[in-house]
Amino acid sequence: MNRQTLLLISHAVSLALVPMPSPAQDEPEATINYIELGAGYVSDDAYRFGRYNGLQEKGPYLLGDVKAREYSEDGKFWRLRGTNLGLDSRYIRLDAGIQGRQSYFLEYDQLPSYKNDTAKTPFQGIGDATLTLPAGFNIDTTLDESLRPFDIETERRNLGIGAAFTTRKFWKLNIAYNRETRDGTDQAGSSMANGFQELGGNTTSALLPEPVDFTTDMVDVGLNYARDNAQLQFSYHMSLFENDEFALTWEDPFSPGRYGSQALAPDNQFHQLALSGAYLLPYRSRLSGTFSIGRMSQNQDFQPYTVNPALGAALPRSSLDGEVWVSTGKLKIDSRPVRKLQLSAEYRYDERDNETPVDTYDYIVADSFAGTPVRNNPLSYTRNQVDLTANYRINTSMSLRGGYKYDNMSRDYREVEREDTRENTLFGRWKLQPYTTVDVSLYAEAGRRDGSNYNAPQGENPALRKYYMADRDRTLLGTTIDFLASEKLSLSASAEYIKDDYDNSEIGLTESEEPTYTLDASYQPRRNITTYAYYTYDRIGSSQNGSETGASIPDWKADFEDRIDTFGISGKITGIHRKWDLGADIVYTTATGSIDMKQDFASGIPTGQYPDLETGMTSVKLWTQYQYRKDIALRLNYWYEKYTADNWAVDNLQENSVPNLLLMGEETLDYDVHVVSASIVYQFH
Amino acid sequence: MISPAMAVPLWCAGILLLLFTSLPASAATAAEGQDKFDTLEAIIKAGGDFMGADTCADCHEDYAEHVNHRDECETCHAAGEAHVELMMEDETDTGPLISFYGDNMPPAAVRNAVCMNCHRGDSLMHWRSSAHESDDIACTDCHTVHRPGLVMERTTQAEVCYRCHKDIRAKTFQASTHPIREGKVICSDCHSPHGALGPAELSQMSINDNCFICHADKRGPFLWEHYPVTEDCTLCHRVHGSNHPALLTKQGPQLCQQCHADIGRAGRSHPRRFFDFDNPDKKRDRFIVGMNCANCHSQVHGSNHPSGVNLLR
Repeated sequence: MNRQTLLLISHAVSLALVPMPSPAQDEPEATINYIELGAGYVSDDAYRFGRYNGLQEKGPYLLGDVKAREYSEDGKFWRLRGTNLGLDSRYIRLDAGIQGRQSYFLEYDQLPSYKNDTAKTPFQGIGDATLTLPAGFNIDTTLDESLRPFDIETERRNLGIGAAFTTRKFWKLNIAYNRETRDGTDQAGSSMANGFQELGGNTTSALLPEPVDFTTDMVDVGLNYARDNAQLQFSYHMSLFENDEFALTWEDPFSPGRYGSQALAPDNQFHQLALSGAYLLPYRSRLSGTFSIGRMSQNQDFQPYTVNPALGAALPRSSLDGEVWVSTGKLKIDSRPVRKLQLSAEYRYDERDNETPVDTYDYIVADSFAGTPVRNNPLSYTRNQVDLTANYRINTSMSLRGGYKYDNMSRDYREVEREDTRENTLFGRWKLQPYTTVDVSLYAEAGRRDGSNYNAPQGENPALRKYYMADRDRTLLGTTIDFLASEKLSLSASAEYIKDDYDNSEIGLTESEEPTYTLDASYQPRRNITTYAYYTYDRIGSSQNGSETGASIPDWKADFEDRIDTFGISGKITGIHRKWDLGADIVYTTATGSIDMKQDFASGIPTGQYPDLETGMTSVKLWTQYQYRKDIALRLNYWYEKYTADNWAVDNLQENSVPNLLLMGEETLDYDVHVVSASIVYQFH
Repeated sequence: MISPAMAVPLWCAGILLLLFTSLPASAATAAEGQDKFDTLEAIIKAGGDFMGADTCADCHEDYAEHVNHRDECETCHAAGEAHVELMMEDETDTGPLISFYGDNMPPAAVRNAVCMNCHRGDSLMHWRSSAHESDDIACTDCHTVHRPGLVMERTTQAEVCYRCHKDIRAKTFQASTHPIREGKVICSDCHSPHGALGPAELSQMSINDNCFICHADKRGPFLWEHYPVTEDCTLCHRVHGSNHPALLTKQGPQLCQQCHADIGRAGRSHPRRFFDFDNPDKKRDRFIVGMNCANCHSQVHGSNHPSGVNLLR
């Protein structure tokens, strides 16, 4: 049972990677309640470092963590869990109830998303629905003096409450309500046209501070019935989304006094009912099925066609009355006629039925001039999928799996590029255990997608094939090898390669591939010492063709590659003199994104090139814990993290570096941060 | 064609495989001895009488303290009489006992059947023939029964998943990710490891339904839809991590050019190559820098503006 031993070692390794408070004794996973209180210090302002964890500012912070639970003999229990209580990323949850009968929870979760604190904008009224410019603003002469810094950041606050009731026999009812608010400021593009019908060549663009003020209410109800031979599940999901602002209006920085306006996310609703069931049949067979139906709707008031007083007309309707029904049906039969053979057949049907009314809308291009009226064109589709799988266990150390998948997508909208796509895929896997210490798995998949005639849409190059509906050959190969070299050392290697070949695409994406390899080793020289190291190689490559002349023959090609290397090592020693624990977790990752442009398609001669997109991160976490008393431990943490990035699309650009474009002048955020913290961990039972 | 970088490890794996398969299957013979207890019925039948938790605690004092489950030991491990007799005789074989670790475990399906005696409805309804069940994953590979484990804890759950899904760990260190490292988005926020209705064991019915749980602003329906967005968020986003901003599969404008090659209408065409190779300064073109295409087409997820047909409003 080598696999289990490997998992046990992995288990020990997982613990090594987790710097959680634990008593300095032999069994690190021992039951423990604790309260951790302390303080830390961040060495530098580092907005990106703190983007999700709340450690963005130089200076001290409070450290608070709690984990407590109590189970009484009569089954009553409560659990309390709190993390990062002193930070903007705090989380706290209380569960209570009677085991197996009823439970209740209350949860609060806060999540910052700090994107950039180096942005500047001349706009006033950030956070409001209208952005204006300072009096007398002139982008050529007064921009610098008008710029004001602001933070591109949002924050989510999530409050959840729920309950579950279980009868002694077969029924269980779950109810949960959740309210999430998200507010702050994001970044959005905008455009104005400056010459009649010169949208491509003579537009101006400005990046705007976009207000974010969202509230989402969610309700989930589940009613479950479970017996030995049958299970039934009924569920209801509701999501109500509200945006405090539905439009953003701005003063054109290239022509002050003129205004543009664009839509923000409209309020919407989603209600979904689902019914699932499973029933045991003879011959170790089981029939299961699901049917769900959901309704998405949106009826936010429309803005006028334009805020330009010289243009505009009456709208065909005051709001969209958008309505989409989504339904899913799934039927599966799973059978084990003999113990070594497992067969399954699954059919899945998905439908998106878009019943949004279709009308003709005037088109005022970029609040600047009248375009050709156009009808909206709602997307509907149906999808049919079949999956047939057989798994045969040849003996206790070898099994074969194989199967076939079919995927048909039928899209329905006016001038659809391709009405039907069909994909047929064969797959197989061979698992074997040639020795008790070695597990090997080799798997492969080959698929071909084609479909009905491809009709190039008006205005697009007729040789273009949108890649998600283009003909495609897909090949996937993979292997994993786990080797338990000794009771103390395990090694594993995995490799996966996926290749997509869009063989009938002259223009657009023509191929993509991604090889990924991971090597890892865990070594546990003694029971109280665990170490783990891994390396992952990931390369994401693709090629695409374009036509500068607009002809159907490509005249340029670009090869893309993102190469990412990640190396990590970690270790943990517990119970030194029965008092000390030590741990370390080090990660180094580097990524390079390159674009190799070839001007002359025939010869492939490279000419002018894009710079590379480079990112890299080093993270070192060290911690130690000293068991001062049986119930009190002292803990020290040190965390060093360095991040570097060079992104040619953002770096070294002033707000007005590019003609006809007002940027925000922000930089990619390199950082070099040290964090130290000290805390007292009070442990109790 | 398989790239040379890929061919080498694949060939190595193939050769190793041939080597292994040409040798006697020692594992097979070693494991055959356990066949007599490879069904739940066989173990229960051979187990004899129940001995009671106090008897178990005589030897297994470490495990006597049950914090997660209130049941007697033998509720899960099966009646212990035969086991106790064997142990008294100093046998190394634990006998007809359902153990969940070590060398004498019954097959994963048998161990799982024990858990599913109680945990069979709710999310576990979809366990059978799920990805994990088909891979012979045992409940106890991820869960600990006697003590609280890592998988039920938000801050540590991912470490359990990374034991097998090793490449995902590396993706979470990339420049653009969900807050997975920080434990603020965890694997089970999106995936249901016990089997699910959605693809890739996603908890919701579809990929997009899953994304809309947190990104409800993208749901619409919009007056002007961007069709691939409506169909599948992952056509443009790599959800576990990307080297490009906003978890995009690649940076614009080339991302957009995978599906758009404007040939122009009434003199309103875009440039299509996006920089002039003979003029390096043109690399800093407004179609390339900043938010590239989205400098103007700000409504890439769909627009509800009456004049938003080209996603400009």
